[in-house]
Amino acid sequence: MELLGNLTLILLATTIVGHYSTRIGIPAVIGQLIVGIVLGPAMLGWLHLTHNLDSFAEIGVIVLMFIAGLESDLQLLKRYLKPSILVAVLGVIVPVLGTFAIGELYHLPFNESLFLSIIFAATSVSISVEVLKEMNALSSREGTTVLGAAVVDDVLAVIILSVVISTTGTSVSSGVSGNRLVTTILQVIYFAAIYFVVRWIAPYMAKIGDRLLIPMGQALMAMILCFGMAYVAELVGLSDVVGAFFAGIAVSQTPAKLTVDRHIEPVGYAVFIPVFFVSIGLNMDFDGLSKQLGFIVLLTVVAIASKLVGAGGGAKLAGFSWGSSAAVGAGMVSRGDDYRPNRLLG
Amino acid sequence: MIIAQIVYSAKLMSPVQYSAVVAAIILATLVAPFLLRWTMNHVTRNQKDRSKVRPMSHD
Repeated sequence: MELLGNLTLILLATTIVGHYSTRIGIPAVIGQLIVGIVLGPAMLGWLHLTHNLDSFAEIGVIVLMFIAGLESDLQLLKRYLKPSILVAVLGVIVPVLGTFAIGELYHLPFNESLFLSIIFAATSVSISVEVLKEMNALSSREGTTVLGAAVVDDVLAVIILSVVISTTGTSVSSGVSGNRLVTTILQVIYFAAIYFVVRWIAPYMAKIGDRLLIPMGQALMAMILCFGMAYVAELVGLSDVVGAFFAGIAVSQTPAKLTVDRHIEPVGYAVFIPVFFVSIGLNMDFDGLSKQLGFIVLLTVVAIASKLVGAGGGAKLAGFSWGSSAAVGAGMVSRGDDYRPNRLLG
Repeated sequence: MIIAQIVYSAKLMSPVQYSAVVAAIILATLVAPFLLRWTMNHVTRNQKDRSKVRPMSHD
């Protein structure tokens, strides 16, 4: 079975590379991304992003964000809501302007420049989550702000894309049936329902999990909540990882928190999460890139700088110190792990 | 990345441009963890905290 061979290869490579990259002081996640680039189509061509691997990767990022929710501090997230909004909003505006300018510089048609700028406006924080977790800084003020901004960012992305699609008249196959107004109402209902999940459903499920006569009862109830909320988030046009993140927060408010954390982490880190990080590198392909070197370098520099300035500037405006603002900005730089097929289709 | 794929499949971008965009996304993503770790190390090493922002008091 091809999948088993692929999994063996991925886990073997990420284990070895992760160990040695940590030893020389490089975040393990970088090693995992590089494993994907080296083993994938870009270099050796031993691994390809098959449907199976893609599914494993998606579960990986869902479990990762569930753990992030589980280990984050709800009270802190609430208190840092304003900085999070500032970070997310400015973290979208500056990259949009920056990359749009590049598009114009290269004389791309208006629509292409516009889409280019939207591509680089998105943030995916799962890599930052991993780095912050490695540093035990997930529930620091900076980590909390980055997580909060990621949630705000998801809402912004849905809004921006639906605006752009309706103004440019681009048709994109929609994962959500019905019109946009219905979708928006559903999304508002979803966010309202999160309150009920945190307040009543998650504690009730934790209580049942405690009484179940099967092993891993609490972890099972937590996974049901995690996948369920991720699924429904996707149904209403939000991203599944945001659903999983809220499921993690809901479980974190119950007495089952520590047990669930202890049981879910091995599942995530021993199978699915390494596949997710490797899969990002598998997207890389060097074909025909040498001709575009200037364009790529410029795009990369602007992609990094604009998030640093935009998101970091938002943090500074919210009253963070320069150093903390830079850390928040840096936490919003990564884009490549954007595993949210339905996030734009609202 | 997904946005890039959708834009590409909607034929709004040439294949060459698409691979350039993906390359830039991955390069930025490779740099990001270094930046984050470096800046966070700086924050935690800085004993004196100059941030003015504080959690609102708990009522």
